[in-house]
Amino acid sequence: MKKSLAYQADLENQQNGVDAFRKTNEEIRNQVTHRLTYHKEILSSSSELKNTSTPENIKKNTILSCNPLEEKISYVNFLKQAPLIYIKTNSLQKWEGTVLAMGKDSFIARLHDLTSQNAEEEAEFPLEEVSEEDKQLLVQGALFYWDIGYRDNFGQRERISSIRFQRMPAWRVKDLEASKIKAAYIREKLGW
Amino acid sequence: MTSKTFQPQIQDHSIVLVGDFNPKIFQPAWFGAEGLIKKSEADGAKIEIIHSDVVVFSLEWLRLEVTHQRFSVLTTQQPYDPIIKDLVVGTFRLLHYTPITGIGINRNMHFETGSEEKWHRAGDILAPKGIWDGVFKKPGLGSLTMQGYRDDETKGLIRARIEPSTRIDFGLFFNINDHYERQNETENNSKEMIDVLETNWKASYSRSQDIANLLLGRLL
Repeated sequence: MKKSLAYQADLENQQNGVDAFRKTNEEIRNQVTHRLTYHKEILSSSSELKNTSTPENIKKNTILSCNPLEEKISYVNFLKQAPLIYIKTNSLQKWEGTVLAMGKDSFIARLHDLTSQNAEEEAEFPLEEVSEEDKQLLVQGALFYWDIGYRDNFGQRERISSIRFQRMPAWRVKDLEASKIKAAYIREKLGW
Repeated sequence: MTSKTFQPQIQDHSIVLVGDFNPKIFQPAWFGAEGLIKKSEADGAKIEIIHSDVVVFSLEWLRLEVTHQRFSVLTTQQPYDPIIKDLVVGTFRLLHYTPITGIGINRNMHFETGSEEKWHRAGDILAPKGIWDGVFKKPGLGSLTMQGYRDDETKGLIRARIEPSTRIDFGLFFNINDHYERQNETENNSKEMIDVLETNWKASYSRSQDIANLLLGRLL
């Protein structure tokens, strides 16, 4: 099967590690062309990004960018690469957890198995399993995702257990106020 | 649907929104400041371009691309599949005035067939070659797209595209696009579509695997 240059990059990355991947990437980068053209008129709708990358398709994209200060238009061809092709993580087992209680060195959570339809169970996790930045999210009722699987990273396969907390924006005061007003309106309509 | 479970060798998950966006907002620093990603991730983001018309950047687990008409996030790391959903929901709960007219919940999956013979047989089942006799030499399946409707009442379509895999020898590639469209044309904000995403993501995600399992069970 005829393989594109970028597909070779993917294959070499997995088989030969970082050095081969970088070498093939260098060849790809040498194909990127850059041409500057000066025009008097600045186009108002100046940019058009054609196609987004997908892991299996690697296409050239043309971005027309406009710099009003310099009054020139640059044509830049981007060779879109498949994103994150050197890190793949597959889950063997997945849970959604809810923090029930916090201890000094651990926390207890209720786990809902997402991989099979087993009954919910409770488990205790050491605090050191949680990243420093996620610890601020570790409160009673917090939702997290726990995955056990393997990661292929530059040809190296490793088992992983990852805990990641759900990040949602905090309710703003005005949103809370708006919700109260709406709730009062509904209550009045229902005659409660 | 109950059928044998086939594990994809390579997969990714993406959520694509169609609407009217201001790309310059969607910078790593903004996501970090709003707590939607870790601050360290925002600081270490690999930025490809930040421009008033297009923003593209990557984290270890995510690639984000935004133009005026399209917002897309993609991950190749399965543990982060629900995380990108949370990121989209969180983003547009904050930017609730952003008009969103459609959402696509997409999965790409590459499966091994086990042999060249099985691979050819799968192609023959999907696209019988008899009708192509005499049309050209060595007809073979390049790409097949089928579409249908969901069982629920949400507006939109499901599309399944099957192709020979370009990543696995004698493999099959599945692209499942679960597309939802806005029903309330008068509400020009993000609420309806983000509610749809939050409500339907889990079912859509499972359904894409179920579709692949059902078809592979029939093809292999």
